[in-house]
Amino acid sequence: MVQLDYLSHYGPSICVKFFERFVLAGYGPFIHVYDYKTGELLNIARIFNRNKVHGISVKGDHILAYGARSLSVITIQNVLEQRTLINFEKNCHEWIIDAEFSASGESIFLLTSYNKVICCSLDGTVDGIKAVFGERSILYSGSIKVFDDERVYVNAGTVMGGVIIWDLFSEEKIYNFTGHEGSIFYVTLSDDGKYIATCSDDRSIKLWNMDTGELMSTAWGHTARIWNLQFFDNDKKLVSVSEDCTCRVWDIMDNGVVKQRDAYEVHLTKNVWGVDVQSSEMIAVTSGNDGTLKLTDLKPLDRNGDEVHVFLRNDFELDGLKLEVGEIFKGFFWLKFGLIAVTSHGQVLRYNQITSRWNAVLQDEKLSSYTMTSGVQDIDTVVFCNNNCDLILMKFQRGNGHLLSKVSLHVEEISKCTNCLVAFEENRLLVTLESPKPSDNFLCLQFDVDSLEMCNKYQWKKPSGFFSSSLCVWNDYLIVGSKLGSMFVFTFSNPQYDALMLRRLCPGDTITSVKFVETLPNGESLFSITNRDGYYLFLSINVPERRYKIVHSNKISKGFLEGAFYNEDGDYIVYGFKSDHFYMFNETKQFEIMSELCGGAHRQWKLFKNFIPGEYVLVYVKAGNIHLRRVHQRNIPQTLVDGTHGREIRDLSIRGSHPYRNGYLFCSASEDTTIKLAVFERESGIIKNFWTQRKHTSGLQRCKFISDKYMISSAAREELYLWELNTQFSTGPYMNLLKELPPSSKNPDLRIMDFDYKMLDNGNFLLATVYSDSAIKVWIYNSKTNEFNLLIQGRYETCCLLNVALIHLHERDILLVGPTDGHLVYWDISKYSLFHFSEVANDQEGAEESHLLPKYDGRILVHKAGIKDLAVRVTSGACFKAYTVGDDNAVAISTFSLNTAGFVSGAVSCLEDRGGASTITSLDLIEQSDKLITTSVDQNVRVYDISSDGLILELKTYTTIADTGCSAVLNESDKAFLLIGGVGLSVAKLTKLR
Amino acid sequence: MGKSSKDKRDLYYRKAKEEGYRARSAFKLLQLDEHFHFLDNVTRVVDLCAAPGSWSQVLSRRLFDESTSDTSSKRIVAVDLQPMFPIDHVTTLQADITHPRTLNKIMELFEGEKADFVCSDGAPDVTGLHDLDEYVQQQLILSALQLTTCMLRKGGVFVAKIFRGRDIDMLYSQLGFLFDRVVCAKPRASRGTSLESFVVCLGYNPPAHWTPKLDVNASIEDFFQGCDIGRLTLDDKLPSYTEEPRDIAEFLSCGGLGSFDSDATYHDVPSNRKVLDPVQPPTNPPYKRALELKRKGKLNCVT
Repeated sequence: MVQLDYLSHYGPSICVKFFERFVLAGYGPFIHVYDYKTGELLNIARIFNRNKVHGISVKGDHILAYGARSLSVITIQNVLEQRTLINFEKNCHEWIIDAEFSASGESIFLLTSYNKVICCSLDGTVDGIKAVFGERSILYSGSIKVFDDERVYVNAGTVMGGVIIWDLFSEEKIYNFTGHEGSIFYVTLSDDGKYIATCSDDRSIKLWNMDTGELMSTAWGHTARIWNLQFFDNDKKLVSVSEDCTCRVWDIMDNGVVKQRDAYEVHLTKNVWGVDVQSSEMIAVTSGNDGTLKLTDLKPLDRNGDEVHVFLRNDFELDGLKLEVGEIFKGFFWLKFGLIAVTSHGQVLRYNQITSRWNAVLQDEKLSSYTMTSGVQDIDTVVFCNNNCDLILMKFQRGNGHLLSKVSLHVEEISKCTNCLVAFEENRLLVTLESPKPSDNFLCLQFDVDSLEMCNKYQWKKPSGFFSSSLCVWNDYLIVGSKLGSMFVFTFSNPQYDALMLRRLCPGDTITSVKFVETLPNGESLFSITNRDGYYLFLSINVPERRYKIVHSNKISKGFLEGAFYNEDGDYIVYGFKSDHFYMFNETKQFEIMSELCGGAHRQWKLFKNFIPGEYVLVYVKAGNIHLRRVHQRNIPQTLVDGTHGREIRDLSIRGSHPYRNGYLFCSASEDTTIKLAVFERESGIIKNFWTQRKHTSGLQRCKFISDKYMISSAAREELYLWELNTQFSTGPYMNLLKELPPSSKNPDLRIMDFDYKMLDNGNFLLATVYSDSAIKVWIYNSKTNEFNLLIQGRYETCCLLNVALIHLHERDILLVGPTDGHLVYWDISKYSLFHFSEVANDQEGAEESHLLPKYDGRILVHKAGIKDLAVRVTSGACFKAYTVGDDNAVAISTFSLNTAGFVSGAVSCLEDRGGASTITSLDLIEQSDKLITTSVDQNVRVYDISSDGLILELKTYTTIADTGCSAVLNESDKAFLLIGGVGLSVAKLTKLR
Repeated sequence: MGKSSKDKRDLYYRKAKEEGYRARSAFKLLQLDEHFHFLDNVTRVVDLCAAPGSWSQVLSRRLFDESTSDTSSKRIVAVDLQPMFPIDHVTTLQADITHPRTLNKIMELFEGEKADFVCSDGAPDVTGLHDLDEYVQQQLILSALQLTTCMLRKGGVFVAKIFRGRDIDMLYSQLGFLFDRVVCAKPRASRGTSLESFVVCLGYNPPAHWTPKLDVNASIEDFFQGCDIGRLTLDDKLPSYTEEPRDIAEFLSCGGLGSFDSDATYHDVPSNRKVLDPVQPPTNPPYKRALELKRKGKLNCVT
């Protein structure tokens, strides 16, 4: 018999709690225990059979976990040591909204969704049921506040907008607050018993006086529903989390006014459910649908004390310096000892961060008007340049900032300088100068890194459309990012050699950064490129052979992109501006590292590394003053677990051809319009995300690897994209959009529901697509021209088509379609002899006339409603089987065969009409062992043996993934891996297949 | 229903506007009736969670406008917590379906006679917590059911909207104790991509020993405690984890293959067509104030 073991699970976490050095997180039916200071996962304990853990209360050594109609009283020791605690699970007849220990810890109180409190002992013996007289409106929220053995309050939030505060033991109503509109989503009473905080569907937070019942204030700020509220910091602050993905901190003023203090973007896609704060350390932990457990520093600006520094004009005078009226800062550069700044009057000033003093280094008229400031931190050197081509280079002593050498020179080769950039590599300091005159050469000077003497001069003819905006030096090449999304590669050893021109690499204008990433043994080198309009790409260049290829492209979700790099952990970090904020974002793990309200991209600004891994300094000028913002390496982790999509995963596909880093690469396609490329580890099931592709603009329908290097995704708005995967590089896998399938109109409104393919020789393939308007198209993809050409088009009827398969059967080519009407419809398309899958001309050029698909050859009624998934297996030369699952809860096997006259006919050979309690959304075949696996919205995974052509149920097992929507299987010789997707993602292993 | 360009994407949406229905869901009841004919010979019907009223409109047309028989004894009562615009031949009650007063009022309108047919197309707002949303939906069905058990004649029909999720088979099992036949029906007007379906309960046949009784202080669970339908009961000790009985109901698709497919995109809607106004204007959401503040750029404020 088959055995299924879950290896890992990522999905909604509804509650989180700090306890001593731990974070306890309700994670599906499990509690995860982390040491939050190190990020180490200490244990995963299964608490419930089926229900999710919605809340955790702690008293002494005891933990009270509850969720839905389940609860469990266990000990900290249990949760730290045991893998399963399901024997402790108890049930309640109503949904448990909140559960608390009594003051003595000897009994527990359970608040149910009908505003009743069940009082029982720790072993579940019911001592009594408490309630207030009156209506039994259902609750979405509520909390029990235990002050002592006599004083326990119940705070109940109804779906009708009312908040009922009642005394547990007297069963008397104290207040009924009616100020909110819509359902109450959270209500909590402060530890000092002074205030009640509430939030509702109206998106406001209200604070009520517990003594008088008076509404103290209503605070606004969240842009969507608020799910959780907690008092912290001795009841002086509130923290809230919301569907808008933010966590907000609010100050409670002495007069009871609630005022927003901070807002943090903590999760990417909705919702955020759980929050807790460690007040002594001012750290918040949040959890949400995406399965990420995020630790947020609530003191980002004053934890170390040196995070924020503003230099006022007065500060300079105190240090004996004088800034004239109208004298402004024109540039700055951060070095190990501190900052070098230049003013509009040609003063070069030095700030020593140890002594916190400013002093003057130099006054030079040449720097008094238009000055460009740059430098190299590694060699403690600053480079100034004015528009008259005067250059000043200064080198400082690393520790104390003493000026070691200074070189001034004038460049004659060009008439004027409008751009000066600096690059450094392996003891080469290079400075480029560009004039606005097209006939002037592009100039590059090389300096000795110690003496700063010029040792080489290079000149290249400027190609048309060249405007240098970013620079990278690598081996014999100078790579220059330019405007119009273009790049130019110049060769040092042969200045006569024409620049390699890479034009219009991406939409948008200025290339803001070019960074060398790695080189392959074959000479191909990988560069990371960012573009101000939000695109980033990875480019593989072989300069000697003058070849280049984009291996990865993507766009950030919003804002401007100024640069990107791989950090010490191999995560890709991007930075730029979002309206008036500067931000740094971990693109690999999808969280914001920092943001700074600096006024926007038009300011003078620069981001510097701060000589310790993971530490940065942002310097910018605002209102005439220099601002320093130091970003420290956090002493606690940013996340405890990195999750997945926050919304439903609609499809999954594993690249099965080759393992990758002890596991397999896979794609997940989500309702959130993104596709994630990730790897799961074979032994542990641990998932590591690499990329989150944002090319699609609508919710995904399908994604499928069609070979080891191609993947196809489809969505609404007729979006179907062909992606090329590249796994040659050590920094990670890369994926690039190769081609978009041509839509049928300029304003496409059709959904591509499914597609199937047949690989041909030379990387070409046939592609069949089916649409929401009953259209069917068959295309050929030509890998040489990178074009899709339409071969066949037609229509079934008027209903939406959900599935398609291309089948090659004994010299016959069959197109099989599953519409919403429950039929399997087939066409023999081999009569267009040209389209024999095996014979399609591989080098066919241009668009041939497409053929019109006639009325179908036949159809059989299999399901009572739409077919949700379809798999086909050719069982003999003249016979194939179609395995289907449907919205009608049924699993079916249909057998099709060719008769001697060459006609196809089919019939349902097996039907299980109770294959699930609700919609069966996916099926997979395990080829080597004749097993069929289904997942359904009743949250069950079923494994059938199909070796005898029947459906023999071998295994039925629960999955915690709600809205279970898709699965993918990877076959190994003696086992198989199963990915299950929906609201969350699980990795399972199937063994004993034979 | 808003005045948007969903017409092409959703033919039922446009058809509802053309035919004067307040919501596209009218076609779901029409297609269910087309299959089950449960409205053929009924006299007294109740529409629970009726707002905005498209099912009441269907009931009104089926029982009165299209009726060839004597209509003088026919009664339609529509109940909702929200106010509803009047509908011909329908008595609307703005009331709580869990309250005994509501039952008394309906029985008064029915002159003491029991109902032949009760339906509910109600659905709560969803939070995104699937387990909670499913629980609240089932509680809504059970609250419609508890009122139904107090007023439906033996042999009568109960129809309610369901979302087929994790525990729907528990509900099927419980309904099986009260009705002769329980069917899960999916009308073509309900999107295939939605988990929405309808449970059609035929032949009301409650346990002989049980007398349903509404009580303002009793929760739904309390109400069904005496009726042995397989729901967990609360004793003097919380039970250890137990699997409650589950049963997969028969599935039926209705509306026929000839009817429109709510998942399909149709092209035969003229592009220069006049956009029809929605029949029923949208209601005010609870977060209206927050939207106003945001529009004025004043969302970060204290009031």
